[in-house]
Amino acid sequence: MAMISERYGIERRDALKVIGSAAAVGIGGVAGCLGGESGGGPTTASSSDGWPDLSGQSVHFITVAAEDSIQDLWQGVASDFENDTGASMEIEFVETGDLTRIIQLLQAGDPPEVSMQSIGEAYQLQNRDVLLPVDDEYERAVNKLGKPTESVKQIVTVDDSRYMVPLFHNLNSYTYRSDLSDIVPDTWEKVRQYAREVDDQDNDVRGTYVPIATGSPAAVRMVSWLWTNGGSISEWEDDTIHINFHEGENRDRMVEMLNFLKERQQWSPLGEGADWADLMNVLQSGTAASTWYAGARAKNEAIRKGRPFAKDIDITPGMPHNRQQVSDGSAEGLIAYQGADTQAAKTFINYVVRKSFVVEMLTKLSPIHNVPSYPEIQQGEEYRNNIQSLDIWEGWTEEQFDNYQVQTLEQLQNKTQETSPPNPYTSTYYSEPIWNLQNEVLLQDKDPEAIIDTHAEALQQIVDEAQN
Amino acid sequence: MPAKHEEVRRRVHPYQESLYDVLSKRWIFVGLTVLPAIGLFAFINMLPMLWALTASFFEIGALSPEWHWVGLENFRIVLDDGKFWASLFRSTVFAGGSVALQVTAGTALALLLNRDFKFKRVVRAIALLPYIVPTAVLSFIALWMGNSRYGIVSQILHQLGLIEQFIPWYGSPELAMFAVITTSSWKFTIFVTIIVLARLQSIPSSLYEAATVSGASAYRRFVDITLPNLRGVLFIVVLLRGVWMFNKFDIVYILTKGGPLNKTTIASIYAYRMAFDQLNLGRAAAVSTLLFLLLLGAAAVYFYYFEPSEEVRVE
Repeated sequence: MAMISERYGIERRDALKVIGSAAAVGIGGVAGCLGGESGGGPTTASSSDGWPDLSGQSVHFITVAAEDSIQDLWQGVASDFENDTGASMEIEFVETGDLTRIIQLLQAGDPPEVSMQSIGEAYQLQNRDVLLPVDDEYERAVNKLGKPTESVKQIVTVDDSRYMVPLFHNLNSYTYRSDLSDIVPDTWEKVRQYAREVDDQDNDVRGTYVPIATGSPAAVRMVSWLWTNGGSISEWEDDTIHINFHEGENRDRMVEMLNFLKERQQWSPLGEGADWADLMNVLQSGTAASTWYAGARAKNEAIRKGRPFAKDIDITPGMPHNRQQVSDGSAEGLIAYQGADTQAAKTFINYVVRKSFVVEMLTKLSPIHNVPSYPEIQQGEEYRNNIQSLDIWEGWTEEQFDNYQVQTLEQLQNKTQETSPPNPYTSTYYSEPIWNLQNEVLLQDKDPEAIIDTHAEALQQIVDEAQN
Repeated sequence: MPAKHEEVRRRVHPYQESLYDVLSKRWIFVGLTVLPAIGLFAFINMLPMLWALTASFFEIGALSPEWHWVGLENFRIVLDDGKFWASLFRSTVFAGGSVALQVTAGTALALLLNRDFKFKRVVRAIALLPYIVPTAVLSFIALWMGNSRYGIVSQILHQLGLIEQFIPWYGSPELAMFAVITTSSWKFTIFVTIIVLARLQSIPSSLYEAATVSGASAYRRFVDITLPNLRGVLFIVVLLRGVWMFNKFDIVYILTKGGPLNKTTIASIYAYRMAFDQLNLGRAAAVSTLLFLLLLGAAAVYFYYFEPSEEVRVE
C-alpha cells in the first residue's frame, strides 16, 4: 500500500492526462486536524493514528525537484501519507517552475490535487477560478509553524479568501566580494563606485555583471531595479490593469534605470545569452566581483566550488536602492485545485505542513537561499542546527546568514503586489516586450526614450488580451 | 524421440496449415502488419493534430478547459500579426540554412567515409555521436562551448589569434541564427551522411573503372557518375530534413529561447509563447494549423515538380 503509484496505469484519469498532454504538445474534506505536529483529530472515518481514511482516493502532487535528495524527501512523505491515510499518492517532479504541466492537466479536465507554485503563478491561476480556497489549511499552518510576517500574511489573498499556504521565499539582492573593496554596494552610487574600483584593479575580475537575458531573469531584474528607483510597471485603472512605466514620472524612472544598466556594462564581462545559471556562477568563476541575483545562490555556489574567497562574499540586505528601499522577491507554497479531490488535497496539505518537514525541506531545497516564511522556524534552533550542519555553512558567518534571511523575511514584496489588489497579469505575461526593452538598450545601444513607448504598448496589448 | 517428434508435428500440422492459409490472405497480412502502426500513428500523431485543428476555431484560455467558438477569428488575428510573418521568415531561414549545411557537410563526409583510410571507423563513430546524444544534452554542451565568458570555441579562436575577444555565439543578434543553424547541423548532418553513404556504396565500381579507363578525371567521375546517382536520395533527404528543421523547436529553444531580440524566434517558438506565455491555446493552435498547411502545400509542390518517387528508384 505504501507504494507510490506510477503514471502508467490505464485508468480514466491517466488516459485523460495522456490525451491532454499529447494535445498540448500538438501545438507545440478537510481533515480537521488542528494544531500539533501530527495534525490532530479527524472529522471523518479515520485511521488509527488520527488521519482520515482516504482509501480509494488519490492525490496527484506536482513540484519542481531537480535533485535526488529533495525527490527522496517528497517520496518519503508521500509514502508516509499513503500509510497513514490509505490514499494513493502520485508525485510528479517537473524540471521547471512554469505552468506548462499544470496547463496540460487543466486542459485535460484533470487538475492535480496539489502543487507547489510561486506567488505570481498562484495569482494567475486564482484569477481564472482554478484554485480552491485554503483558509483553514493556512490557519492550521500558522498554528503549527508560527505567526508569519506581515508580507507573508498578504500572500495570495483575494476577496478575503486565501489560496496558498506559503512555505518559503527568497529576495532579490546584490551579491559582492568584500575582499576586493571596502565599499558596500547598497545604493546605486555605491554599486557604481564598487564596480569602478574593482574593475580598475590589476586582476582579471570585472567589477560587476550585467546579464543580457531572454526570459524570466530579464523580467525579474527589471522589476527589481525599477522599484528601487521609485518606478512602477502597472496600476489598476478602474477594473483593468494599465501598463504605466512609460508615463509621467515612471517614464523618467524607467529611462534612468535602463541607462544605469547600460552604464554598468563598461565594468562587466560580456552578458549576452545569460540565464539564471550564468548569474549563479559569475562570482565563483572569478569572472565578476558583484552581481544582482534573486537570492543567495551565487554565494552558495562559490562555497560548493571551494573558492577561497567564498566566505568574503557578502549579500546586501535587499536591493541596492536609489530612491526607495524595496526588493522584489518570490514566495512558494502549496495550492489546491478546484475539480480535484478536495478532501484528499486539503488533507495532504495539512499532512505536509508541519515544522519537522518544512525544516527538513529547507535544509535540502536550496538551503539558506530559500528562507522559511515563518520567523518562528527561521529563528528556531532546529532550523539553525540543520543549516549549520551543512557543508555550505563553512562559507557563511552568523552575521551574513542573519543579514540575508532576516531581510528576506521582512522585505518581501512580489511584483504582483505592486498594485492593490495584486496584479494577476505578471507571471508569464511579463515577457517579450520587457525582455526586448532592456536588450535593445544593452545590445544595440538604443536610446531608452526612443523605444519605451513601443514596448509599453506591446506589453499593454498582451495584458489587454489576457484581461479579455 | 523421432516418433514423439513426428506425433507433435502431426498434431500441430493442421493448425500450421490453417495459420498459413489465414496469413496468406493479403488483406489479413496487410492488416496485421499495418494496423498497429496506423493505430499508433493515429494515437500519437493524428489525435493531437485533430485536437489542434479543432482548437484553432475556439478561444481557449490555457488555464480553463472551457472552449468558446470563434470561427476563423484566430486565423485572422495570426495572419494580421507581423510577428507571425517574421517568425515564419526566420523558420524558413533556419530550415533553409540547416538543410543546406547538413546536405553539403553530410554529403562531403559520406564521400570521405566511402574511401579507405586509417581511422575510418573512428571518424564514423565521432560523426555519429551527436546524433545519438539526446538533443537537450547536446544543446547544453553547445551552450557551454559557445558561452561568452568561458566557452571553449572562443578560447581556441582566441589562442589561435583569430579573435581579440570572446564571441557570444548564442547571445549576439548578428550571430545567433548562424550559431543555432550550425549547432543543429552538427547534430543532424550524420543523418544525411548515413543515407548518402548507403547510396554511394551501391554504385557499381565497374562504372568508375570504365570511366577511369576512358581517361575521365576524378572531377568528371564525380560529376558524371557520383552526383547523378545521389540525386534521388538527396531529393528525399532535402524533403525530410526540410520538414523536420522547419518544425524544430527543442534545440533552438534551449540554445536561445528565441532571443536575442527575437532573432531566433522561429514559428514553433512563436506558437509556444502564444500558448504558454500569453496562455492563448486557441491562437497557438491556429499557428500550428497554419504551419501544418504550409508544409503540406510545400510538400505537394515538391512532389509535383521534382517527382522524388521517380528519383529514388534504384535500377
